[in-house]
Amino acid sequence: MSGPSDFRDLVGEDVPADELEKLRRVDALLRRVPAPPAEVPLTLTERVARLSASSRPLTRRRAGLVLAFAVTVAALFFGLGRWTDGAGFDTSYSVDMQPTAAAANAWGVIRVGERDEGSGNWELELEVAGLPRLPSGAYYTLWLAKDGEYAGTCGTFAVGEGTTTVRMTVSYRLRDYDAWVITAASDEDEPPWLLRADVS
Amino acid sequence: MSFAMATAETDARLIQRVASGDRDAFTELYRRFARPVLAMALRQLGDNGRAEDAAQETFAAVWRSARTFKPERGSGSAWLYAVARHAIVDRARQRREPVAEAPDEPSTEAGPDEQVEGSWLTWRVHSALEQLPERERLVLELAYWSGLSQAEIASYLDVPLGTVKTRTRTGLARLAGLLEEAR
Repeated sequence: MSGPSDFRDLVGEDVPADELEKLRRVDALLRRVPAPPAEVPLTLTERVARLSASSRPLTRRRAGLVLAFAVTVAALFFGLGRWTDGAGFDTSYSVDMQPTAAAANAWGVIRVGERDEGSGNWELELEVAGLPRLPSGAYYTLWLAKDGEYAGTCGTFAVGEGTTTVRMTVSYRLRDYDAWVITAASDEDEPPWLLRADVS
Repeated sequence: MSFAMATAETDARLIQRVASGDRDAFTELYRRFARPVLAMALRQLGDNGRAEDAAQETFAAVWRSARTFKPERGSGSAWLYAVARHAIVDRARQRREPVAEAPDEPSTEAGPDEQVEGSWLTWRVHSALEQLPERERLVLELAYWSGLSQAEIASYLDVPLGTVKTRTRTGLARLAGLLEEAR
């Protein structure tokens, strides 16, 4: 197998001199290190999804989190949905999400739990329906946005048939943001917003 | 501001969230570090099965011990590197290797210090690659480790050659920033 192309062939000829030096240093590093594995075996992902159930003392509450985590990892890597029945979630207030033109038939609601004063975390429960099932490995993301730009990720999820309910934990000060947003993972720098709601 | 840079949460913050039992943070840590951990395990253990075992033990230790992470002592990436090394060394010790005969001539292989430095460098580069947008990471991996020319990459990805060069350039620039942050 031949090595990588010449540096100037890789980056082109129209690179400013100050940037060129920075790129050249990274190029040299990449030529020194070995290739990462092509992919992570699904068996490892499955094992990691399961291990947390036995590698940490479980309280009743934590047992639920562990189960939810396992399903989250499975959803992220295998394109499966994650469903919970919504039981046991203490809602402080809820926010209805509005569909954009890109997902006219979708709806969602975010239930915001009490803030854990010890850790500063907020528990969220997101319920969505009407979003199309994505190909295996793809996923949706719930974001917090500020001034129309993505500002913080709350979590990822896949959807199944009907209604999907997922739990998330965020550590942000919600008042620092002005919108909740759901997008699908995409190669685009700014994938279209599918659902949105004001942070109230 | 770019999408990826605007939303990236630091490794340290993710580990702290894992310490509070945050499964989403653990999932994100796994997404970022599964390949770097596996790559290091494969290099050191040379066996897929044992490497997977070591990688699993690494993430088990992260899940169990995230509370021991002290951000004032170093970066999240460095802490994870130490956890992974520990798990890999443990796994290596479980196999009884035959005692090698002393070589007649000095070895030209890297000494222990150089190996550690190389391992840490590789870890940093692999970890940073995982934080790139998928399209930039893919182009860089094809450019540096597949043996394909830029034109062949363009053909393989079915995009114009100029797009490949742009993605290579932006990926390298983003990688430079990530590596600078990780120092």
